[in-house]
Amino acid sequence: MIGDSSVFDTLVGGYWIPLVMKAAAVLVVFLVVPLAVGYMEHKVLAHMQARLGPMEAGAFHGWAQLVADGVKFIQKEDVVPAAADPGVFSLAPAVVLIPYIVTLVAIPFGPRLYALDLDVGVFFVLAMSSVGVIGILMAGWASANKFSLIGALRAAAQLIAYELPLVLVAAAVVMQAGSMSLLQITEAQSHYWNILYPWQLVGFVIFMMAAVAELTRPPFDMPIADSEIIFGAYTEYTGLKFAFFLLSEYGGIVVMSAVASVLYLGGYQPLPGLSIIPGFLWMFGKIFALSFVIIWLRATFPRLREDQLQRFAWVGLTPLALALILVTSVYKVGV
Amino acid sequence: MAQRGPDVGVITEKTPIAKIKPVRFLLNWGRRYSLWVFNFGLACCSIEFIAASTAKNDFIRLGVIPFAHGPRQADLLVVAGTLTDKMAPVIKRLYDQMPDPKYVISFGSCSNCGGPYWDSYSVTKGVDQIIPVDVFVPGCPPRPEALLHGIIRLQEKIRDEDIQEKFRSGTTAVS
Amino acid sequence: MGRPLSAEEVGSRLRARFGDDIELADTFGQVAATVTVDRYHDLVRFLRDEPELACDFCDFTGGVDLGPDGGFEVVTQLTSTEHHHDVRVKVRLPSTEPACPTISDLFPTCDWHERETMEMFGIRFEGHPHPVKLLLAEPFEGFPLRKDFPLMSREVKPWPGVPEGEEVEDDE
Repeated sequence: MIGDSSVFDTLVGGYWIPLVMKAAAVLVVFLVVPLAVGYMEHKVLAHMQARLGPMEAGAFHGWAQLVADGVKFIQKEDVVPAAADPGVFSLAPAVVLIPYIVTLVAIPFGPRLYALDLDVGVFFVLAMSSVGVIGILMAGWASANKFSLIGALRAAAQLIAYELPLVLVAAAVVMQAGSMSLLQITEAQSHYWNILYPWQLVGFVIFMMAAVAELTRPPFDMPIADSEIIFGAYTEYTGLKFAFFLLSEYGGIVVMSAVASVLYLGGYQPLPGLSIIPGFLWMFGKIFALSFVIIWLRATFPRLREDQLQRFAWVGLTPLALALILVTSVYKVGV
Repeated sequence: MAQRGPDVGVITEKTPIAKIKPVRFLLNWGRRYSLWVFNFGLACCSIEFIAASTAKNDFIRLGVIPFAHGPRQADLLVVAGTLTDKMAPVIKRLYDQMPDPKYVISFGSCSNCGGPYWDSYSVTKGVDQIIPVDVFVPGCPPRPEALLHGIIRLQEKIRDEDIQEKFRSGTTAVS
Repeated sequence: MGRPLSAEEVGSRLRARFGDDIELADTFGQVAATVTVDRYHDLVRFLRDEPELACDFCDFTGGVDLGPDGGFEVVTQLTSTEHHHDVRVKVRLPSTEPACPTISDLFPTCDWHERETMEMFGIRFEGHPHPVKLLLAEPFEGFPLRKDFPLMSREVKPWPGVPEGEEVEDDE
């Protein structure tokens, strides 16, 4: 309930120990859940394409495939191109990865399972997920590779373009709930999930499409597609740094799904009558369901060309999001 | 080109921890089941390679993730098809761009030994004249199942490998 | 929307324009015109620009080695995409110092075809904008498709090789 502090604060008093516990919990969630989503991607794509996916790594249906990937990447040679800017080159993966970890701090996973109840939760989450653009630009520029630079600029243009619809529909939700705190928004959906309002349903669709474009996932993966531009900004990265980029992609999927479930699907709120299942299971269920949809999009749609992508954002999604804000404000004032 | 030589991760090269049996097993296991393959498809054998990546003979089952975006992200180079003299410097350059530890499968008789074109004036008779090869898969073209067999043989080879020995003896690259 | 000309009609037009510099033959229903070196370029231009012939597509330019007595031959196949008829143009060249004008200014596709013919036969194309090797590696010496080019692998193991299963003494 609102007013109760998080479980970490009540478990152990004081300031430093709960802080360390919260940090550790966030880190554990960030290291485990994206691996599960990555494994799910292998298997979901495989079964959608009538094949099996990883079966050998780990005795049961290859569950340890991503763990094997991690162990292998630790052993790889770390190549820094001779013409590259070594400091910027090495720092770029961190700049892409760390904001997503930090975003998890503000997201409530259960009624009392959160690290921080920020008053400006939505603002914080959206701002942090935009910091990754700088990392991509750093990677593209420091790689001293023409294709990397083009890929980075394409990615930056795409991420800027899709930031607008994302923020606008999030603003519509904030208006609906009357608060920017993610915990308050979840509590405001205790009887009626936001997605059940028709205009918020449209907003949900816009949010999901903009989130997929923010993550440069297919069908919006023109900046990193290998038939287009080898790997875009990440072309020259090997070993652990490359693994960090992959982790940030899957981590981004988890974070965006989490934010979408909080804003539209009621976060840890259960379906009416099923409140016997604890809140954090509902939350993880919704996160995995939305991640499944994002992976499903990859299996289904061909890639959008760069100009189609930009047109879709500026001429399609942004005006629709603005109209949405109008409808929400009419509803809030009038009803 | 890299600024420094193969610096293959602190764990494997610098510390003696990699000599401890369970750790060595774990490291070899990771390398074995996570082979990102850079397909160097030159000719007809590449069609068989692609067939091995499709639904019926899926080599992702074995942990070989297909179509790494570029040589920098790959561990395994599958040379499928005829290597001509004009292409030889290119394959050497791409092999050098791959980070260590890396493995090569020579797929099909053209890349094993020149194949049916062994008497041609422009064919390199075997890709192992240019880069070191770990597994040769014979056939013209080999069936996709033959590639799966070759990958399993490579995985067995990696399982029994001592990675520090591999880099000390300098057998990773032809000089 | 084109009228394919028969071999005789094409032949008569070429004969009217080029007189004795040209020899005509009928190969499988299409005209094969053998022309001298100095009228080669004019012939190809005429075939391309004449409205009733309008051979706007160059299929290939290749070479033939006719042995020590026959010299070389450069063969070009032209097709009209409008009228749907083909013409084959041949140029006879001497065995020593074979040289021929380029038609890459008329048909840009012949740029690469002529580069290949140059490296494979040693025929020099005068006026070619970029006469470097196309398919062979840079340090290659010799002209592979000439009849007198020794195939080193076959010096050791002559055709047709050894029947399977027989013992072979391999010193290579």
